[in-house]
Amino acid sequence: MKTNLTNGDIRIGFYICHCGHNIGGVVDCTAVAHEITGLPGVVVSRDYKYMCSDPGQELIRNDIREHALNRIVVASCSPLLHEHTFRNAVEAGGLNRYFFQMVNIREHDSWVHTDHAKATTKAVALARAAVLRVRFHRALETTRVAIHPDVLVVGGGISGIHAALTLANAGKKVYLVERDPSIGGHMAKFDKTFPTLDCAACILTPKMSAVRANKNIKLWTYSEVAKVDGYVGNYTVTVRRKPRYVNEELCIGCQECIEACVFKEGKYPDEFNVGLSKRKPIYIPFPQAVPQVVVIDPERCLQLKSGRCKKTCVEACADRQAIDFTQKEEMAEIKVGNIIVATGFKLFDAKRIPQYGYGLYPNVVTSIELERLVTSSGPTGGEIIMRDGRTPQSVAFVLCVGSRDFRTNRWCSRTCCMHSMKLAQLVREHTGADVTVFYLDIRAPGKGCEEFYDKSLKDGIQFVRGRVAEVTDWALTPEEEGKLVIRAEDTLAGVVRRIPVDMIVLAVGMEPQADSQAVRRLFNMSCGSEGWFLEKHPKLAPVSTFTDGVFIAGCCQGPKDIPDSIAQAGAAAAEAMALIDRGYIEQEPNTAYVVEEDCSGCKSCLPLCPYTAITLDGTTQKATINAALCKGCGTCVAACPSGSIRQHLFEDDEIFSEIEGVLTHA
Amino acid sequence: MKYAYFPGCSLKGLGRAYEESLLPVMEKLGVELVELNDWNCCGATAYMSVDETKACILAARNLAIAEKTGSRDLVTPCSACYLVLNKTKHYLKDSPEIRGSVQRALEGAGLRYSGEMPVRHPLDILVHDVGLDVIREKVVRPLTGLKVAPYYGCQVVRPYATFDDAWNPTTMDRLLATLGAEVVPYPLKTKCCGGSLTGTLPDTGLRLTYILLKEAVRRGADVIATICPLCQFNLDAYHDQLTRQWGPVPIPTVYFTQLMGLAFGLPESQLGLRRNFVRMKPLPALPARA
Amino acid sequence: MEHSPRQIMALVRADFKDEVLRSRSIWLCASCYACTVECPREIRITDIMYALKQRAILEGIYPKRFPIPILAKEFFKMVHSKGRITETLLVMRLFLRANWRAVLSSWRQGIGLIRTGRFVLRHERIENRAQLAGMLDSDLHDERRITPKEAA
Ligand SMILES: Cc1cc2nc3c(=O)[nH]c(=O)nc-3n(C[C@H](O)[C@H](O)[C@H](O)COP(=O)(O)OP(=O)(O)OC[C@H]3O[C@@H](n4cnc5c(N)ncnc54)[C@H](O)[C@@H]3O)c2cc1C
Ligand code: SF4
Repeated sequence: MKTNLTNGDIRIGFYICHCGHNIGGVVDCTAVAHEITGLPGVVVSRDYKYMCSDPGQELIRNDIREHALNRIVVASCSPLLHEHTFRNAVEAGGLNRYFFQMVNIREHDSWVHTDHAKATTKAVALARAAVLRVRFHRALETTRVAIHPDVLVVGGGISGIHAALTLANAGKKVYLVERDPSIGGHMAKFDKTFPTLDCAACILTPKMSAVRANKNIKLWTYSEVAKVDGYVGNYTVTVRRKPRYVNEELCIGCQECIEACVFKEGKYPDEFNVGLSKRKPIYIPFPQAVPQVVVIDPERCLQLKSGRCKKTCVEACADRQAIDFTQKEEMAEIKVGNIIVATGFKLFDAKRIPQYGYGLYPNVVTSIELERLVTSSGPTGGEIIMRDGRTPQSVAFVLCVGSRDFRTNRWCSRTCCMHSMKLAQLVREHTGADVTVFYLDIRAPGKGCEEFYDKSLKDGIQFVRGRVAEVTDWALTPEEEGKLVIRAEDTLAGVVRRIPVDMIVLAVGMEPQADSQAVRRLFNMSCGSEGWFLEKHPKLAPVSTFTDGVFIAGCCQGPKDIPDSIAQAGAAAAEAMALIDRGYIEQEPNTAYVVEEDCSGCKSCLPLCPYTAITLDGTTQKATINAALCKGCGTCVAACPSGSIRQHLFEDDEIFSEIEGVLTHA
Repeated sequence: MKYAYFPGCSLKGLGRAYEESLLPVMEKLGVELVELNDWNCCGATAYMSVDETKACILAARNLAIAEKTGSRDLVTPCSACYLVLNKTKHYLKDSPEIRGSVQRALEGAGLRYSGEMPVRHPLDILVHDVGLDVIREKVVRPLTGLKVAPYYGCQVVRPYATFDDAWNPTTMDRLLATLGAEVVPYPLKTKCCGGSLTGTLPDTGLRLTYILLKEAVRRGADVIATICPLCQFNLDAYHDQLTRQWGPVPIPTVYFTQLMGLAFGLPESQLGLRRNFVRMKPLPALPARA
Repeated sequence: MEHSPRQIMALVRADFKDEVLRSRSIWLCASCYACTVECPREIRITDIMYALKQRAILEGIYPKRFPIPILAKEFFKMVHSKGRITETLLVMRLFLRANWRAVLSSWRQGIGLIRTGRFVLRHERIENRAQLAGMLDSDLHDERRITPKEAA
């Protein structure tokens, strides 16, 4: 191959990193460095314990100066982690940052091989390829693209609310898109919150009102994101706004229409009360709902279903004329620079474990149902009663329902031990009933949580360590007659116990939302195998995703309690603000470009580009590529019949010499 | 429809009423069951307790004989046989070691087994191959008014159940309803009957049997329908001991095939009903036609 | 039950071999497979119970005069010699070996079986017994295996 030395004399510095034992434990780094010394153009070849450390970078800078190096190769970890670090070092040494090539001999070599000799041979081959390639690197410049300062927050649970408020209070404009008719999420359904037992409504309602009042927040409830285009700093988002058949601007939330509806009583399961009460076709989800606007259920409303109703609601609304049966779904397009996804969780369906009798025995309930029962604004006015109206004398909690189980969900849902103890205390307080909690392990690691467990023990709640085998309604003894019987092995006492109770509460675990895969694709995120949205790094980047400018917060990332959700929401807001306040992003120059004189104007590349970055110049009839839109995927480069599209950092001579380097046997 | 048929030892002994009712019912539906030539005991649970490989060889001999018949499926009515034959199939597939030993044993005897032939239960055949509609057509004496507790026991639904749910199977429920019977909700339908413990450790075994009977009575059933010869024996033959220990639980337990025979109008004498300790009462009178 | 299945698993893991093999608990497993389909860790408990029973018989350290292993061995022998099981005869043998008094206490059941025509006194057997015996002994090279004689 003919060498095209456009930059005069090539002087390469090669560095191989031990990464402690990560690489050094498998690959003989000294031998690799030695092997590379002999390659043409290599002036310096060294191995070093930690190249990413300050002294490591200093090594590169000094060598550039001392040995007049003009190309640098580092063989170490993944470019994802440290390409940036080393390019900075190269730049600091006075070279163009793209006179650099990185070789991954950790993820691609030492971590995946056990044979030391062969791993070393592989490291040499990969390093040689980079050394041959770097000779052809050209000086390139990054470009800057401005960041749109507005932010989209998806999901109006406590996480989304907190993120939106944080940004809005810093003066950023926020769109908050919530699927349900009101914001609030799961927290709006709770009575008290662990571990402090402060009233959920008292701490949540002010934040919800603040959202409504904040001029920087555009709140779109009953809406969903339909489409996302663009890239960090410049997203174009289409939001689908479902018709609520009530004009949000005109409705003042007086609710006289609900009173006036032709249905005298509620008839349909009330979503907010998890089916424990009935609502009418026209309703407001709950008293503190934000916005305070009623909504009409098109599946239930006589007028919308059949067009034949007296429309007493319209009469009641009178002059205000807020009710509008002609409302249609609307699509709104917005531009934002960053997106925070906070879509929360859904609860495990207790019917999936038939042994626990949910759906079979009326007095087996889930924890969220009990939350509604203890709340004074709930369907029973805060009275804990069974389906037959009696107050239970004895209540049992079954923990880990659907969680920590290889057949359903393997993970721990993290909050159910705590919220079960919270509910257990409330049950005792409200009814004086005997309460038994069946647990596998009590997980109470948060601040104040172990103390809360202690308090539960002192409050006289019985704890039985053992996974409940089954809930039955058949009796062996007279005391069991007419009760639900829990059978479980008490693993501390070492006996199988039968415990008869009146009411059983299943602590159902958390699961990813049913549509999490669709949402993931919408925002170009990844999911772990369980379906929770994947953070970019489990420790160092817990609210970032692999897509720049898209952040996650709260339970959509994994089960967590309110304090942790809030912390993540704040972190996500801060990450977004860091980008907004910098004002621009640097774009990698690894874009495709057209060599005009070779382009025949065949247009075959135009439809191929997934980012619509290619256009045909009207005057020259040649293709041109918008570097700001190009993501460097290379599709057009490979497809161009005349070979007139090329790509920075992936030039033919670079790639061919790299291949040659891998294939040459020393 | 033609199937290879493995009756198992029980159907020639304590459970003969099962075979006595199964054969005419299947005949009535045009299902031909061809009994395997010189089949041997499947090994049941006891054999597996002594030696795993030998247990698999024992079962594999039957599977090989069945494959020789050229039938598509092998049918076996006894739960233990159903489980052991299916389990052997799985073991042969999953464990190269066992497969090797079994193959050597088969070869030495001039037999071959490919591992393909499905092992199925009559309930599966009836509901999925024959179909409830065909069965409904054959009903001449609907079981209207008869309250039946459907009892599946363990080994047909666990752990190799493929044709029904492990916790809440419903094939027999649907079949009985097709016969016109009233199916009583019976959440204990897959609880263990005690198996061979009723004989070896009566205190432990009979307690399980008692709960099953008592709950069927409490839920208003006239009769318990079963699909397994050991379940039938346990629920039927120990009433003396049960009454002495816990009081009477007078409810008969019959094979679902016997109820089918009754509904099909087959003569009672041909269905082995006289073999019960606790005899079934005459069917409730049919409501007068309007 | 001396040990719950969970305790058996824990004892196995902690290498308390004697305690496990001498435990009556493993013999109490009636193979209903409820635990196997129920186990949140997908442990095949029933199969492990079988393995433990096999081991206990092999090493001869199962609880003495305990009827369940005796039944298993009588079953094993009858299959080996006849190819099939005649339940009534099997139970009689069990009673004779384990607890002859049981024969007396269940005489009424016996009479009931005779009355209902379910008491079989003639051995059910297969024709090709030699073939079966040959097959079952075909893996004798494995010294872990037991012959019916040892099992007796
Ligand atoms: C019974 C129970 C009791 C609990 N008690 C406590 C307690 O006492 N203390 C405590 O600290 N924690 C408690 N928790 C945990 C607490 O519920 C969570 O930490 C908290 O709700 C997480 O908030 P979030 O905003 O992440 O999710 P969510 O509350 O689930 O909110 C998500 C929001 O996003 C919306 N959404 C979902 N998908 C979309 C979409 N595609 N587009 C638009 N919007 C969407 C949803 O409608 C919802 O409003 C409890 C949990 C349970 C189950
Ligand atoms: S938090 Fe407690 S109840 Fe919930 S899954 Fe974890 S251990 Fe089980």
